[in-house]
Amino acid sequence: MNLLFAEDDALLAQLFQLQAESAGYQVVWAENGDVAVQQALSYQFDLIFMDIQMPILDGASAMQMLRQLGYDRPIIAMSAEEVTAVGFDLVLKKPLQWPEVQQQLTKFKAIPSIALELPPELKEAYLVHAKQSLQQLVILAEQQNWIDFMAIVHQLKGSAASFDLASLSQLADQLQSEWKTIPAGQKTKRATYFLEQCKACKLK
Amino acid sequence: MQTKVKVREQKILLVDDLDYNRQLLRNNLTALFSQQKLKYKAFSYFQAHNASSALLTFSQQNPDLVFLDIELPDGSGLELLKRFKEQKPDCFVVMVSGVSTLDNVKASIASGAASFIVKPFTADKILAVLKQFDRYYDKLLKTAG
Repeated sequence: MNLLFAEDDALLAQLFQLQAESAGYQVVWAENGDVAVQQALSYQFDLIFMDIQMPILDGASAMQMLRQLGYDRPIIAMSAEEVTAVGFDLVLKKPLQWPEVQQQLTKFKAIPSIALELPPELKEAYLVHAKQSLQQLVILAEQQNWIDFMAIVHQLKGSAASFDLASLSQLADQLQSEWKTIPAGQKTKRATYFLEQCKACKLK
Repeated sequence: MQTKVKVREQKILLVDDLDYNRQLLRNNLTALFSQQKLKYKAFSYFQAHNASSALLTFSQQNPDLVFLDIELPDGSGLELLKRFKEQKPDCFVVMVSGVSTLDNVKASIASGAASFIVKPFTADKILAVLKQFDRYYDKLLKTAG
């Protein structure tokens, strides 16, 4: 079963991770409510553990946001205080006692995952498109046309992983998140590095 | 026993600037409609590659379900969402984005989005939305009598 553990206390998160993983669960940690919402929307978790008091976005607001967006998978609240928010499937008292948690976990089931259908001809067509995009990026980098350059990077980031090219998507994501902090004089160097990394991906 | 409800064919509008994304989405919608136990599965498809053509198609077709990319070349999907909800308040709009910032999610909810999908597409995300649409449309038909 895949668990998302939203908790701002890193030590508590590590402890939970150790206990849950040794019992055969997979755990991803989210350090605040904002990250928890983003992770939950990936729909890869069977169950979410949500601390109530968290920075940026508290656990009750994060749960409410997800429910407003139709998220219907189980969410468990964790709190030392009473939880009044409506929408949680269960409330666990903090500090968590692993034997109790484990017992409660048996009530929940893993949600079967379905594979995305990717017809070979569509993947092939996208591959051609991605290669053309990379060629375009080479030209735009030479012209130092960074607006158009980053627009294509953004598109690759959003689309490549859907077409089984997760590594390309990750590289684009990395570049995009760093881009604003890169001084103007360094942009060509960073762009060239990105393009070399993409080449090394060997798109096929 | 399953009761058959006769409903008119519904309409889906797919808005994304990248043709391949729309194709992928359409492929997977069709696959899920045929493989999964979903109540509403007879849809006709419409597509738009930018904000202005999306507005036009929306006005002409009045779709029931929209997959709307936030980052469009000629405008923001969030602005379109507002316009769509004004024109057809009961339209079920799913926002799609490569970046699920808190601001995007909050603005989407505030403007009446029914759901939010973070790219890349997975079948699990799309199915979750379709199940949600089933529940939503049931309720809508009931209230309409």
